[in-house]
Amino acid sequence: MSLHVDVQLLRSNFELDVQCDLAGGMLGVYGPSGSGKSTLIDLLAGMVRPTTGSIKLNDVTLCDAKSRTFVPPHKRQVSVVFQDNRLWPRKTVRKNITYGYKLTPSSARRFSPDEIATFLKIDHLLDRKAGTLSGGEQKRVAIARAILCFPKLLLLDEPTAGLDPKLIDQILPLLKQVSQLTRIPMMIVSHQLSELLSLTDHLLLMRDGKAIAQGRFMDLVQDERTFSRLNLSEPVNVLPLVVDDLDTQAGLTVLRFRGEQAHSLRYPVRGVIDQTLTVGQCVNGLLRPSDITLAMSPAETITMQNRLPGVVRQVIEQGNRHFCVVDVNENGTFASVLVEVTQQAIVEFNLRQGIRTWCLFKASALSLHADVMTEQTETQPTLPNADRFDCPCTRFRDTTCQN
Amino acid sequence: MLLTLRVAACCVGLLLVPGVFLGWLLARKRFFGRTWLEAAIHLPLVLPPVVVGYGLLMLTGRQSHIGSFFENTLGIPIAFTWIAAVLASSVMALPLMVRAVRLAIEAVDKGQEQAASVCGASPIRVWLTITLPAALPGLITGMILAFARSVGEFGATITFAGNIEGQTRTLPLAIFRAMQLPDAESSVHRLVIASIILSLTAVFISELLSRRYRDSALRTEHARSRS
Repeated sequence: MSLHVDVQLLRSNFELDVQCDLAGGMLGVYGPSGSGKSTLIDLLAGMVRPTTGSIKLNDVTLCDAKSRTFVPPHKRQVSVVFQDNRLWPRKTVRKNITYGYKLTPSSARRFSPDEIATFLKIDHLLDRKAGTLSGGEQKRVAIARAILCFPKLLLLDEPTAGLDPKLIDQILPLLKQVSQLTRIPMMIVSHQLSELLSLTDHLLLMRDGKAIAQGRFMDLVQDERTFSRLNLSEPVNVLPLVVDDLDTQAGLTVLRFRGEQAHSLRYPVRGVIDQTLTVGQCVNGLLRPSDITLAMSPAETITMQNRLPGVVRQVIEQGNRHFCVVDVNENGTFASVLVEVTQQAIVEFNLRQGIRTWCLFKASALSLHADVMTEQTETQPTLPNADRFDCPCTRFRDTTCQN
Repeated sequence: MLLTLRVAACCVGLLLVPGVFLGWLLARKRFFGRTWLEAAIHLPLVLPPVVVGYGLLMLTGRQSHIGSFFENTLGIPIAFTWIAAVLASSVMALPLMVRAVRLAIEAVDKGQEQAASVCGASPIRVWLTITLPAALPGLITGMILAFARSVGEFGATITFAGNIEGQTRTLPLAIFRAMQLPDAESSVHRLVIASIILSLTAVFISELLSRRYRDSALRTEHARSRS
């Protein structure tokens, strides 16, 4: 899979200029409202013609202004999950999700509508009219409809817009699973950095109709051109964790980094108790850079429940904001966190690369969100005949778990 | 009476394809001469019906090229036959049909059409499976309006098709004829009642269909707000 985009669009009140590449997996398109993210989706899906430039998907030129090539939307094999779902309200859910399926030659069908319906937990809704569904149900139906078109590229426009936090917690892991199990390359548009980061750390930054940069989150943070475009007040630290224990007496959820032995940690991660979680479940722990304190000792006389030893990898100074990238290292597990500090703190504690430090944060600062099992393959949620797919968890092992 | 129904049914049948096509054209396409086309379609609404009938007579009468072609080559005379009655009422009903279809198609969400095309549906398939079903209530309204217009058509018909017993004498013409005769008041009353029943039935069916549509839309709304 390869996608090469280099398009420009000129409108009387708007100008778009995007270059980006995607080799597979997930790409998060991040930018404020009005930065041209949705227009980019329209261009990729063929609903808008670019003024100049070209789009190539797997060596097929979808459009090229020079040679006047333009493949119409229905021949592109690019599916879209629209922000407003755009289901056909008077058709049943079954008719909605099988619309594209029926138009796909049977040799290209990789799974059946029933498999996908079960997987997305909409199998009990199949005979309902799509217009009668709730927001979360509609979103899942829209995702099912898009997958069942068997696209070469799946575009998701603000998939969490208009959903309440509980539903967002359901949709995000589902999207990750869809990506892992179907291996359809995805482009996800959002203005919520933390949501994108719980799905992927591969980002495309958009601003005022221009693609500013593309790369890994940590690289973008360290680049002064892109740093100021990232909203680092959001909980952008995404810790890949597993629930170790639910301690109702202490009121704590005890967690470990993925890839570590259960109950073996000297420095467990602790969050506020959440009875909806189960022991062994994979979760993402989201944490704001400003919620972490750096200390030169474990500071055992304060009430903060989390004390993780780490090493400062880098100190970033951008304008009047300062951040430390700290590698939290324990038993070979590895994760980097971004910590916001002040100029004064850098001077006072001589913060620089290689300094050993402790990351302290309150249990209540850590918000836990269910994630896809990427650790234990035996509890991996699978489609009924998942042996048709490659092992879905390798990519995540490489980047986050390192077992 | 039967003749009236036959003329009206043929009129609706004749209008179906061009009516839907023109309605769609005006709703979705921007092209050169669009305003002129729109004006031409709406002309019969503002012109006196007699003028429309006279125009048709000029165009397809025995003396014209079209008329003589049909009569001499195909052996089908047009003017002053029931075909003329169908044509006259079709021209008069076209603007009503086009208007209803156009409004219905304009109301169909373009986003839903786009959703179908990114699922791999060709433009024709999108039109048949998404646009048409969504615009169907409007289409039916247009058909009923055209039907009613045809049943009530008088001016253009009498000019173009004449008032020939058993051939072109539709209900309004029959009423007109009966009024001219002395001592025919009872048959006038009968015909008036028949015409009222016919019109009411059309209105009733139209109301029934639109209510059914609205009800199912309301149910959808209701279920959505509940969940």
